[in-house]
Amino acid sequence: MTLTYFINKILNISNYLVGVTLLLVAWSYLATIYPPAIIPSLGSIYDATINIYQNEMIMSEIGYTVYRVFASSIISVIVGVTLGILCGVIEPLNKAITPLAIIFENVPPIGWMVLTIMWFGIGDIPSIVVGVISAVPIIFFYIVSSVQNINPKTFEMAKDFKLSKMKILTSIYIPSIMPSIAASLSTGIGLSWRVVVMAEALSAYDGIGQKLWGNYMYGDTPAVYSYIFIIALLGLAMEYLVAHPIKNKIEKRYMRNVNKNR
Amino acid sequence: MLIKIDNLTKFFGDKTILENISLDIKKGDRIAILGQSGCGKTTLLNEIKDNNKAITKNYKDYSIVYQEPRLLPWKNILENVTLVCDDEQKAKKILTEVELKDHLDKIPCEISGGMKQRVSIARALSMEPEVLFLDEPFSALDLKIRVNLIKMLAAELTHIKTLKGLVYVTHNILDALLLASKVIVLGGTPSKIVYEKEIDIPLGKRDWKDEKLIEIEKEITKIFLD
Repeated sequence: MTLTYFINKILNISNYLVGVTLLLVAWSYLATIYPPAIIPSLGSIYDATINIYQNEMIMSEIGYTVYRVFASSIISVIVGVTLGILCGVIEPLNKAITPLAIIFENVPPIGWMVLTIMWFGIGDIPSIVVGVISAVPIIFFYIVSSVQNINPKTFEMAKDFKLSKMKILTSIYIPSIMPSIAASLSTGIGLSWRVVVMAEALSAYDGIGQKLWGNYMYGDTPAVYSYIFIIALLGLAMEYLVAHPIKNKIEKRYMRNVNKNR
Repeated sequence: MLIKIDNLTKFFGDKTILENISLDIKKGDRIAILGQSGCGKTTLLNEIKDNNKAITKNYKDYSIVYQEPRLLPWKNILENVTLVCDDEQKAKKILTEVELKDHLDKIPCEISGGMKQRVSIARALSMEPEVLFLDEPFSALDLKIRVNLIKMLAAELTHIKTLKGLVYVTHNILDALLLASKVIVLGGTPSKIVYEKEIDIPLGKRDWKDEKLIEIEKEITKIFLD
């Protein structure tokens, strides 16, 4: 039984490797057809990655980017959740804010990038602000709908038992929307990651997005690919080492059979 | 007089739900409002609870037990009670009386339906209300659990010194007879009071096998079925 278990386990893992292997094989083949400036060989990308790791201040560049991503995620969640609760509770305010949120949501990040460079100049602020503006509307809509979905019977109970406004906020609103806050935190980090890296390319002097752009400008194709590879790995790390653990923790606490108990 | 309802008529849109309801609830009364589903008995309870100019109220505060426990799922049993009464000692005492002492730190999804409803009763009683409203609190439970819970509630009622009256809405005849000092039945469309009966057997001595209760049960069943 243990033998079949291990064979199955290996087969199972090998399934995951099929796609990656195919990609690598196809890549090696294409690298023989196209010039290295378009598709460099795997070996040269590997060398470029080692070179970046050994010679460039990669860790401090990553540090700048991670700092911007966290700053932008935290600000987005604070702004989005506060606005979402207010608009979920106060319907006229919701009507006033919703069109603005829809407009903001539909301006592409590149538009915000140009504006923020005009307003703030090049530095930390544009990429953080672009991250915030891109994430806030999404978080806002999440929170508004989860506030509006709280069971009215819970509020009837609060009224019958004369709970104070403070208790209604801390004991009903906040716990009810905790799963949505968790989800929006996870979305916020993921979105900020992509948007901030992009914004850095044009609006910052440092950070990993800027390094990617710089290497493109220098025509160092293998380095461009290895930066993309590093960015993808870091994105995965953000998702699975930061966003998911937070989300799981909150969901475990607040989503245990919530609906059964209404 | 604790609550006086004087010719209450209630519409939903152009449909009359309740018509000319007049009812006097005296201090010490335990009124059961019986009626079949959709007859407007919960509407009547809500009218009493909220404000209607046809109703004169002579009490300061109330608390309520609903058909569903309406506990906060993220708070444990003790916290669900202290949420309303702000007094941990008092909450523990009442939860002990309803036999939940060993479950204080469980959350609602970890206990049974009957236990949840006991928490809900403890929560209502912990407010030490003058009037207690019960809105079909036992309807979702099995007969045996229901009868035990009613016994437990009857015993608890004597502990609450502030209590001046109880208004109890149910469609279950036995539930009403085991608890009420007076039963009224709503019937017809629109609903009117079609039957009233005082029950003078002391709470502690009520039993479903009692001849007198069985007689009343038959009378009300007849009204329901005719």
